[in-house]
Amino acid sequence: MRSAATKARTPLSPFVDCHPFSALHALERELALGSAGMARAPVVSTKSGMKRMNDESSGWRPRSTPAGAVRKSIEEAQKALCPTGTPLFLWSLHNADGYAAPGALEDALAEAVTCVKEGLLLHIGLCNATGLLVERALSVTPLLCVQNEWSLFCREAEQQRPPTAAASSKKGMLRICAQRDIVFVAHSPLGGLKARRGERSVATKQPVLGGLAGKHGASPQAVCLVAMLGRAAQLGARVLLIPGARTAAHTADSCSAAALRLSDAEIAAVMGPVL
Amino acid sequence: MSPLLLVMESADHTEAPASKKARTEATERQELCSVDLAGVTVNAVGLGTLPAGVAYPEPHSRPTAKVFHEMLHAAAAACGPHRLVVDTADTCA
Repeated sequence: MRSAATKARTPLSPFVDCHPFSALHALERELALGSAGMARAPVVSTKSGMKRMNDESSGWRPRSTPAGAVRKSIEEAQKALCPTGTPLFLWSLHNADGYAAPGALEDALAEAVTCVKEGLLLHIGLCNATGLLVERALSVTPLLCVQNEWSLFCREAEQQRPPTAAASSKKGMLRICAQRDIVFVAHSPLGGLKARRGERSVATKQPVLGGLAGKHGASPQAVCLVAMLGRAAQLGARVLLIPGARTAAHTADSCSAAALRLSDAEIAAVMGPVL
Repeated sequence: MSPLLLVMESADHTEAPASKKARTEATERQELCSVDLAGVTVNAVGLGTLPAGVAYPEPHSRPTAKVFHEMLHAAAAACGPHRLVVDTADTCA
């Protein structure tokens, strides 16, 4: 593992991306190629329903959703990720919060359920979901995961969901997932694209991370990740963190974070009191 | 038999059984490290991705395919006994 001083100079970057590929599903193809020969191939989680506007865009936009769009996207992903014809392990509806209209979410998920029955995929999830959408989805299909944002900068998943919460509220998702035995997948756990741009940093947001990193011989980012896992355990939630990276060293540093252990006091120092 | 091996054997045979506290801590640590994903035990920290060539706002700094493959292998190796999870998303046509 790199020294804490070195890590402090080279903070974890939020996302993986592949240059110069720009064709449809190029990353998925590279993932299949890069995984070839591995003793234990990665478990791939994929999703569809949104797109980037262009090469410079930093924001997602919903794709148009004509009839059959969900099925088409699942077929494309399965073809790209599973060249031997095996089913996709996990597919999620990317912009669940765009399907709030009556029946829209149910219709989209019904297409996915058909794909499960036909052997194109095994499990279904939701991304960017509200508590109400999770309940609606469960009336159609079991959910393996919900993927929402959670980080020191975005705490709503960790907060209690108030009884008066708006329908669009994503508060309380960690507890909702725990109650429903759904895995919570936290995207942008280290701050996402804004962290990559240097607009924010977990080390700056929570200065105690620096001291803990030195104490444990880990990076501030790795300590942050394991503190989040500790908080999730305190809430009874099964959480999968998916930080991005741009180098092999950063990916290894992130993944090894799960083997660190923090005391309850250290978790509280990073995360604050249970919300 | 070398002295080193003797020492190792001795240590193996004389090590006291793990205390209840140690076993509990080991269990908690294991739970923190891994997530059961439909019967597949995966590392609790996976690898987030964005679509190839369309998401990164700094095209000049994007990893090459070679680097991406290195990242996959490094991450998988760092996951120890657990499987690596890689998150992907839909790309622009």
